[in-house]
Amino acid sequence: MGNQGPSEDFVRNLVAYQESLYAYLLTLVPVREVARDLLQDTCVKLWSKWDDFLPDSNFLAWACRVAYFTVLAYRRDRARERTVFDNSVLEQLAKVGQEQVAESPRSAVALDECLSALPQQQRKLILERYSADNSVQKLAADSGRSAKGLAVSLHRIRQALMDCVESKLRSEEV
Amino acid sequence: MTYRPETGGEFERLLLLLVEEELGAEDLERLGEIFLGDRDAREYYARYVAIHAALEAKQACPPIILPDRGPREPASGNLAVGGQPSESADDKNGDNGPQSPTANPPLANPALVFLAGVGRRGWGYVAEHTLLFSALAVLVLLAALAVQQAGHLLPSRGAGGAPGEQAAEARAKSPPGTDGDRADGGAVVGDGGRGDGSQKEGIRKKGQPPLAALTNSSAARWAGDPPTAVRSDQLPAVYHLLEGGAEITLANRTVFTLEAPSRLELLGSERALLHEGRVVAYVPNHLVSFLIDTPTIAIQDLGTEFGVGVRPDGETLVQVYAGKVVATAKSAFAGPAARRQLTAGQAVTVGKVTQDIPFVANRFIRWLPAPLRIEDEFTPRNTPKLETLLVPRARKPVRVDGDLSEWDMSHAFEAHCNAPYGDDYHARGAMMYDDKNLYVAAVVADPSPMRSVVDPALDAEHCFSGGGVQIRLLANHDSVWPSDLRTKFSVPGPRGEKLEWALRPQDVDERVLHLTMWYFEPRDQVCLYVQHGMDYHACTVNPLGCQGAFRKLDSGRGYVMEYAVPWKALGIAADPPRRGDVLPATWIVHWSDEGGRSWRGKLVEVHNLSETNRDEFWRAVTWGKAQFLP
Repeated sequence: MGNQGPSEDFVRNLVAYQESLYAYLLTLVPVREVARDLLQDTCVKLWSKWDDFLPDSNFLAWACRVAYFTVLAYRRDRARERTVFDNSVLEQLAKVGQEQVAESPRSAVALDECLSALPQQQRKLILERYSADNSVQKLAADSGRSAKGLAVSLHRIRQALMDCVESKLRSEEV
Repeated sequence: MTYRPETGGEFERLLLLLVEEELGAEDLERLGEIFLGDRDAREYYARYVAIHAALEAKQACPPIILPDRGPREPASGNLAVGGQPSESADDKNGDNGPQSPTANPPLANPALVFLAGVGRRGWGYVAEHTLLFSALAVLVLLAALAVQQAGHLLPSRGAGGAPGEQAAEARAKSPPGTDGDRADGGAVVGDGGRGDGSQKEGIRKKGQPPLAALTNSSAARWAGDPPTAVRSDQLPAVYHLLEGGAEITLANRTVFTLEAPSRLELLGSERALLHEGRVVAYVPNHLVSFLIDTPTIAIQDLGTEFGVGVRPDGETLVQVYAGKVVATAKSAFAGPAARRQLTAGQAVTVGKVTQDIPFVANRFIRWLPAPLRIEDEFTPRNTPKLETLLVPRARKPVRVDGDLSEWDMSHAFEAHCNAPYGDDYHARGAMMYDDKNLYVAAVVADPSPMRSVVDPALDAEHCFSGGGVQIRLLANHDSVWPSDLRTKFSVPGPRGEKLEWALRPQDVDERVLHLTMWYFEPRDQVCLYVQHGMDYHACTVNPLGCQGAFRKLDSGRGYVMEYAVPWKALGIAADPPRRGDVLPATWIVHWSDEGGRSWRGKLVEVHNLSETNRDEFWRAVTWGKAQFLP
């Protein structure tokens, strides 16, 4: 059989689930730079296995599995650094992470709406936090607030967004 | 009932540390223990991180709103490209105003000619040296036909950059009274909203912003009318470029730089087919994956920049500038080489056989000159005020660590860019010396500090474009000021003949030094690029013995840099500058875009104040003086 390149389905899925895969990896390895690198490695592996993918099967489940093994390999190489959860924890997180990211395309749309619904000050603060590598320390220095207080405020906003997104997803299901 | 961690409790504390990436090994272990014993905590954590990741994805590289109109070409004869306005009448004379992308007759394409004329110097150099290039362009125009017939353009690189980013920043910085939203020639790309461009929203509705737009072109001639703005229901869109260059920007910020003759078919926001020709794809968002198909291979981008060239016989060349790609050969005979992962600095050709070829930085055109637009008048720049920089002798050992407390900064210069950029773009610079070293220090205000992605191993010639500090110095005790050193250039004579100003022995003197200092973000590497002479020869990267340090300011909006450069590394250990010397010298601080890729502006100080232009690259007469104190 000649190698005719990846199927449309494969490419569409790979593109569509980039953010979901990133969220999954960040759940397992909560360091953004590392999660980004692992995303690249995962994509390389997925690409090299594209003809293993069956068009009507669950792409995200397959991709998460590949991502999980990529994380395990990463952990194996850096076991002494103690920067990654234990394998037993990773296994547990992999399960909940996969369940969570299965919702992520819908969640992303809901998140946009929930962001719009936030009070202006809160929306500005949370978006600033995620803009151009801003850190809480930097925002605190700029605003004259304490870093700890600001971190708590951001945490509350994230919680509010979580509640809002879940509420929207639930109302869609009804 | 929805699980929620106890307010102020241990789990919440650990979560806060986690999202700020301040979690220590013991904290991580403790968090792991919590997860093992509590499914609710695990589920809550997964949901929390999903929001965290989604917010990051949303803000790290937000989609842009593309213009509905096509681009305006750089004005004929006006070579003030790259966002730097011209001060000269020569430059202004050339502005012919908006042109239709299809209207350019084959020979009236100075930008194409200019690509040939620029050669390895690239557009960034042009951006710096507009006046002389204006003269050069007239002469080089004559070479246009030959260049086009040769069927390829000499590659270049420079200041154009991703127009979306440029325009977005220009818009953000537009002073009151200017219209940052104006779609001037199609190059103004706002960032004021979330264009969809994302897969999850499915098919766009009419009236929504395009998913792709023709955002720039240079001397372009098309087969038919090119699609200036493409919505999802208008796919596939074919860009058949017969001459010149063009830039297509997607809402997800992916930018294609197309080099004629080329035919690119845009199949979606994540896929394109290059039938023939050459294209460079720049995919700044690490969460965007893009596929370029050619007749022989499929190239999957993984957050990167790469060039693809397809010959008429189908042979494909792939060269990676940054990140990784996976190239998959479509031939049944490709065998084990069917899939190759390529990383920055690698290049292959895929035809009947697949073979590695040397990486050549200038193999592709990666930037087009930016179209002229009103925002260009507001790029950071300054009016030099200081002619002589006093260089004290270092009285105590200098520790190169980014802490300038041991420095004698009493003679440092301080310069601000002109309004409205003065608050965000300014610099304080100083030099010291002793028998062994030249010491350089600067505190630079920079909204995107230490972001350069210009790889010293691959692309040092364009090192300034990612931001950094340059010093030019003529380390010859016998030099006079102002210096008449200059680089080689040509001007048209009265009868159209070529008058060439050749280099003279003094122009190529080893003691003419150009030092460029920058921080290469991808490898956390402090870099120094040394060139000699006005012909910029004998280039070395990080010569032996040099020390440098960069430190980001606490505010995150600037950096401190400190270097000790041995005279030996500069080739003048036997006779370095000594007390009492007054030597031609100048300082330039460069700023880049937020991606550390495209040149955005510069500040020149220690300048010959009787010189109104700033051609310090070309003519040492513009340089000021460095006075070496006892």
